[in-house]
This record gives sequence, C-alpha cells and structure tokens, in this order.
Amino acid sequence: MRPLPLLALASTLGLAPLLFQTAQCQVSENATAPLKVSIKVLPGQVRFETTRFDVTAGKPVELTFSNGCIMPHNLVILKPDAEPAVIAGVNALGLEGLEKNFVPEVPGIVAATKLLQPQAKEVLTFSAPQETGDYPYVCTFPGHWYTMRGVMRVRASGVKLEAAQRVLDKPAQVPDALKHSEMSHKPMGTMDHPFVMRTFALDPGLDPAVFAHHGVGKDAVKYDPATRLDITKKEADPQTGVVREIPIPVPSLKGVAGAIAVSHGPDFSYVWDSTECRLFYAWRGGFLDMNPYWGQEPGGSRSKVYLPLIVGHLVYRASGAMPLAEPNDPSPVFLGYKMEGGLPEFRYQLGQRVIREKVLPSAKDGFEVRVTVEGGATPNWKVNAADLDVTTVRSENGGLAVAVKDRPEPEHVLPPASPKHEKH
Amino acid sequence: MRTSLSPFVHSLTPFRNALLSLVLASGAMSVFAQEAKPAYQVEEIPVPKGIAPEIGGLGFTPSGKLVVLTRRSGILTAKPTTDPAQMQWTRFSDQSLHNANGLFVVSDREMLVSQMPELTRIIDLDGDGVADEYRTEATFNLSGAYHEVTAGPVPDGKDGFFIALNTASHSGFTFEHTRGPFSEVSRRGRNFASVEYRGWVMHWDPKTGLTPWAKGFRSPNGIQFGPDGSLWVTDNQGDFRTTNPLYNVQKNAFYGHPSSLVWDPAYVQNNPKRDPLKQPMEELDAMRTPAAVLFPYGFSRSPAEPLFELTGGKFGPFNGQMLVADAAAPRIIRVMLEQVDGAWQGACVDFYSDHGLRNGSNRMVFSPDGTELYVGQTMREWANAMEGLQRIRYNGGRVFEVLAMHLQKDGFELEFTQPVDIGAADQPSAFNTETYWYEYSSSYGGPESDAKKVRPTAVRWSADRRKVNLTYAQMQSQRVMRVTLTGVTSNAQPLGHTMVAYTLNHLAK
Ligand SMILES: [Cu+2]
Repeated sequence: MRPLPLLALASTLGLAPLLFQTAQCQVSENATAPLKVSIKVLPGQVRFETTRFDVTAGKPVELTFSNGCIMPHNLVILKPDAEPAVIAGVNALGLEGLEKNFVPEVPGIVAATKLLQPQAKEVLTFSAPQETGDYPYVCTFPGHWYTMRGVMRVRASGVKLEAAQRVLDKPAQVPDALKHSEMSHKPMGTMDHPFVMRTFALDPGLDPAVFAHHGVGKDAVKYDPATRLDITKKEADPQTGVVREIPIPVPSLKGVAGAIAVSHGPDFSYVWDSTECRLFYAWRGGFLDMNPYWGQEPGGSRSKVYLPLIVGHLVYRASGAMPLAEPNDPSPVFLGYKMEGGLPEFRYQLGQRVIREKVLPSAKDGFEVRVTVEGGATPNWKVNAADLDVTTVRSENGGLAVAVKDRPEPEHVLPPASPKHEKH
Repeated sequence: MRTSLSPFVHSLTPFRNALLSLVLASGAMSVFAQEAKPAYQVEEIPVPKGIAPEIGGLGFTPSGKLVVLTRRSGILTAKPTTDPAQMQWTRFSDQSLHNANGLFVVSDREMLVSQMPELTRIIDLDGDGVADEYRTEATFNLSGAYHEVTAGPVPDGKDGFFIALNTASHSGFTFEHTRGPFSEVSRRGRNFASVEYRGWVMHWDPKTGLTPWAKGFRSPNGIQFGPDGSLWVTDNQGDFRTTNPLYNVQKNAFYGHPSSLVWDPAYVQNNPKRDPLKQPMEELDAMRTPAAVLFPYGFSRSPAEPLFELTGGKFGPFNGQMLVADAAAPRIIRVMLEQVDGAWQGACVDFYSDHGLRNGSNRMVFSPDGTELYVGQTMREWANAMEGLQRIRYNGGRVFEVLAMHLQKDGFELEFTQPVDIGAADQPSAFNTETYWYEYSSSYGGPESDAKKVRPTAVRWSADRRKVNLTYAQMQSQRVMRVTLTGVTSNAQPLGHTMVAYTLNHLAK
C-alpha cells in the first residue's frame, strides 16, 4: 500500500469549495460530565455531516454516531499520522473485513464504532488523547474514506473549544476571477503603440449624412411576451383631462454600432467606423471611460445607457458624404486592417476600388489621414463644403495626405439624455 | 456467513463478490489506491493581471498551445503545464475585440474569431507571435442592442463554418442608425430581430460568403458540428422557449422563435408587414422543428457550448457523447443522443457539478491528449460576474454513472459504467419517474405541464448487472420522462449523478 499523502488528498477531494457553517449546541462542555458530540451521516452522500469538532485533552467524550443512510458505515478516530497504516490494515483484512467491522487490529486507532447498518445508532465513550493535535476520523468501509472524513481537534486544557463544523448540502460558489484581474476600464495606448478596440461608441451628434449606409432605427414601444401585445399606461390628456391607454415608448440611442476606437494616449484618440468606412471623430484629453458599457470596474453591471463615455474634447467630427465615394458606388465593404508601422491601416472596398487608410496621430494642432488605392490609381478626395476642418489635400507616395486641423469643442461630450427604461 | 451478519447480507453480498473478483484479478490494494482519488478534478488556471478572464473561445494550436479568446482583452496563448499557475502566457492579440464569443484555431499563426460586428481572421504575418492583421471575412448586422452576440465559427467538415447570431433583448436599446436595414415589425418583441439575420444560424465559406442556414433561434449561445456531420445548437429559455433546448439543425428549418422570420423572403412573401408576432401560436407550432433534448430548467439555466467527447477513453467512459457547458450554474451536462424514427432525441444527465467548478461555463476544449477538459467561463451579459478559466482533469479513476439511456417500445434500457449492486436497485422504487411536457408559448419560460409521477411496472437487470430494462404501463410521445435513481450503488458506492431526463418526441417502433 502506497501511503496516502494526506494534504494532497484533501486538496484533490474538492473539499475546499464546500460551505461550512458552525453549528450551535452540538458540542456541550461541562467540567465534570463527558463532552457530548453527535455525528450523523448525510444520506446517500458518503459524507459525515460534521466535519470538525473540538475536544479537551484527556477529558471524557461521549460521541453519538447515527447512520441515516441506506448504506452501512462506521466512524473510526485515528491518531494524527495513522491513516496510511490503518487503511493498509483495512486492505489486509480482505474478506474478513466485513466480520471485523472493517476495523483492523493495528496501532493508531483512538476509537471506533461498529459497522452500523442503516438507521442504527451507537454511543462511543472514550477519553480524549492526552496529546493535542488534529485527529482524523473516517469511515473505513472500503472506498468511503475518501469523502467520508473529518477532524477531531484535541485542544489543551483551558483552551476554549470552538463549535463543531458541519458540511451543508449546498456547496459554495467558486469565486469570480474577474474581480481581481486588475482589468482597467479606462484603457490607454501611446503615440507609437495605439490601443485598438472594437466597441459600441457614442454618436456625439454627428451629421446624419455620415450614416448614409446605415439603417434607420425607430423608437419602439414596450411589449408583453405573455399577451403578445404592447404594454400601455394610463395618461390623462393635458387638454381635455380624458384618461387614455398609451403605449410606453422605448427610445433609440445615439450610438455607433461598428466603431473602431483607437487611443494614442491622452493626447489623441479617434473613432473610425467600419460600416461607413471613414473617420467619424477625433478627440484629445483622454480616451474612453468604458464603465457604462463594461460595467463599473471591476465586475459591475452594464449601465442602462451602455455607451462608453468620451474623455476629453472633440477636435474633429465628420460631416457630409464620404469624401472618396463616387455617385454610383455601392455601400462600402470593410475588409479589415493591418498593423503597419505600429498603426492600424484600414482597408475597404468602394465599388471596384480597394482603399487603404491610415490616421497619423499628432499631439496637437491637427492630424493627417493617408489614403492610397490598391493598384496605384490616385484617390479622388472631394473636399466637402461642410467638412471645413480639412485644410489641404496633397499627393504623397502615390496616395493622398489629407491634413485636418483641430476644431476644438468644449470639454467632455455628454452622453444623450438617459432614456427612461424600466428593468424587465 | 455468520448468522449475526444476516441483516447485512442482502446489501453486502454483491460487494463481497466484487471484492473477491478484484482480489483474484489484481489484488485489493490497487483497488483501494484507485478509490482514494476522485475520477475528475477541477483546477483553477490564473491568467495574467490586466486581462479580463471572460472566456469567449478556447482552442489548441497544432503545436499544442492553448488559445484563450477573451471577450474584451484580446487573445492569449500558453503551453499547458502540470501546475496551472506556471503557464507562460503570450498575448497573441492585445487589442480589444467587441464581445468576442467564438474561436476556431486555424494554425499557430491564424485564428478565426467571431465578435459582435464581424467574423475576423486574425493573423500573425511575420511570425513574431503577435497578430498583425485583422481581416474581416464577413460582417454581421447590429441594431445597437448589447445582446446581439455570436456563437461559432464551427467548421462544417469542408471549407466552411457555421455561426449563430443572437437576437436582441428588450433590456437593451437600438441605435438611431443601425448596421443593416431596420425592421419596425421585428423591433417589437421580448427578444427581437430588428436587423437582418438576427436569430439565424449562418453558413460562411470563402467562396460563397455569408448565407442564411436556419432560423427561429432566440439566444443560441452554443453551436457544434458533430463527427457524423450533424449540426447542433443550444438555445436559452425565454420567450417562445419554455425551457432550454438542444436543437439538431437542418437547413432552412424553423426552430420556434418567430422574430427571425421577417428576414426570410419565403415567409414574408412580398408582404413586408407580415408580422410573425401576430401569427397564431398553432400555425407557428406547426412550422417549427422540435428540440432534440429539452433540458429540465433545474438542470440547465443557460446552456452554452456543446462539445463532443471524442477522446477515445482518455477522458473516461463517455466517448462519443456530448457535453454541454452551463453558463448559469456550476455544472456541465452530458447528453446521450440516439436516432428514433429518423430524428435525434435523447437524455441528459449532469456530467460534473459543483466540487470546484465555477458558474458561468461558456466554452470548452479538450487538451490534445484528451485527458483534460478546459472550461472558460463568462456570464456578464446575463447576471453577476462569474468569469474565469479552469480545467477538469480525468485521473483515470473509477466512474459510476449512467452510461446510456435507450428508448424501448415499453420503456427504457439504462446502461451503467459499473455493475450495479443487488438490492435497492431491483425495486421499481429505485426509478421514480416524473413525466411532463413543455407547452409552446410566447411567454418568458414556463412550467413543466401535465406532470405525473409514475414508476416502472417491471425492473429487469442483465446478468452482468450493467443494464436494466424499465417497463412502464404507458409510453407517450411529446413527454419528458425524468427518472430519479435512488439507492443505486456499485460496490456500495452511490451513483455520481442520479437524475436522467429523456425527451420523448418519437416513440420506439
Ligand atoms: Cu461509510
């Protein structure tokens, strides 16, 4: 018999997640009378209900063991290091085991009940060992000992005994690993190594023309799945005072569904939209506060209006039609991006043309957008009358360099007014 | 046998016999050594600080590296180590994907990932271990609702993949500008499909692109392609879902949640105002394909990824069976499927519950050697945070569980992984059974209806004590029969998981 490493055993048994509760009134202490302990079997679970109890060294103990299970069990209290030898002894009993209550005649046994048949009870009286320490108790019915076990703690005289510990049926939840992850909800890149994030983003009130290839979302009303009808509320007409049933509106939000948000550190950030395939807005003074969308750091719930907040002030916002689009172009098709020289180079298709686009950051006073057409054709960037922030467009390495000047806006773009929305 | 032992004789004889045979075969000691550790053991796998351990996908590279797709903290890889705390993590991607929730590992340098807006091929072009290219293979429409997540891609056995697209939830909003055309008709609803192909299973391959495959899904957070070429999707209890189902998905079929129908030209028939939410339930009921397995709600609060156990015995005795992660309970379910009358149906039982397993299991993958099941957890869309990474290791120990449940004309045959002791298991009272059904309803979830308690009229064990035939007075289709096994032991050890529920769409002929 290979000795069983007790510590390793306990850790492999999944005992840690079991929820322990201290039980009152289970151990009663009195100077003269024996210490009374009662231990039950959890029916069908091959476990003792009590997993730990305290006794005082040398004092008498009266232990009542009751077997409310459908299987036979015993309770054997062992000296601290005796378990491997006792289990080897049980194994050595072989077919004799049953007749000997699976209790071998080996040293190391402090006390043992008989093998109790279902619904039987036995009162065990013994003197607690003189030596303090942790004395395991197990059921020695072969195989039961790996789940059917507990500890009798022998405390020195005068030490206050703690209440017995019982294992409840309900195991504890394993803790969430997110709460200690140190995941920041205010991520940040640098000028050389931008942080690129796919996310919902705020629509800070962009010119509706920039959403040319989006669908038109409409406000909705609340709906009851049980009746399959809209939910209404009573409202008095302000003019006539007549009370009517009206649907409860659910407004739509000002958001960008396919956003790519890029942080170059506190001095420059932008949102490039993968649906329209164009730069939507840029800002300085911070990046995004993701708490409304990701939940309050570290692991809270999403806000009702679940859009990230822009930290800082906008310096550019797109307006009007897409500058590279030709009149008969179909909707742009986003093809993805490559990290080129540390920066994301976006790639998209406009009709037959495949275009690459890069936003060159700068810490202040404007920035540049570089566009090239695959195959070498010169892109046709139409400076929109409304897009006044574009200052110059010049040829550069077969493509165009579009210089955009800052048009600073006031600090911090507020999210849209919170729609009233009750929880389900 | 001494007379004083007679009260024990009945229950202990099988144990004695088993002990005797084991002594003869290999000596008793090895048996006890085996008994001393549980067959399955859960280990926590810590990930580096600064990473949100919300697991949207798991895989292994051809060189044996574990790939961990997180929902917002990029992609990690590490070679597994015996001590999970010693794993050396590399960030394959440090970019934040948008709620990434599906992974297929193409190679050590290439991953196919689904995130809310698209299917993205993420490639390490220069071989430095860090991805350089994020190639958009297909885009998904978005209303702006937070709930429009993905499941898959799972390979279709050829060059393509299947992906499932969630509907939106009324707990979220839509945006003023939606990605994809907006349907006012399908914006109504508890869960809704206001933009195209929400509530659909899609097929994608490089030649044909993204095409619709099957419809009628609500919150399909699990998809898997079986070794025999069958496609499986789990869905979540809610409106038009009385309980959590597992579907065997056929092309063009409709699976009962109506919102997605507005994006089916054959349904709309040139009438853009045709409203499936206003269609009578009986008509929708007639159109739909039933679930292969209806998980009792007590079993599964939120089924996620299904995964076939194909380790050939390296992970225990369940080769060929399906495991299903549960995102809302510390549980992994096991599904025992069979074809009856040409359709898949079958039974479910807990595979692993509690004992160190966290809530929130979402994605799973077997280690290349088959001895470990990696389990990734996340449930932030639905409830309190319950996130992390674990693995379940099979220690090679003895497993005592229901191995199979086969429908018979007059009842069931249950098969066990170990011979069962003579005694309590020979009585009908060991197999108390509830039969009930889930009515198809637009309401959010629903009860087990028309529930009845029955017992088998006969219990017949095979000579090897591994199989039992249960005969019932009546077998009915459109019932779930849930058997609670009581007092069923093997070598006096109790059965690991004692509740088995069989979804009876078709009777045995
Ligand atoms: Cu026992």
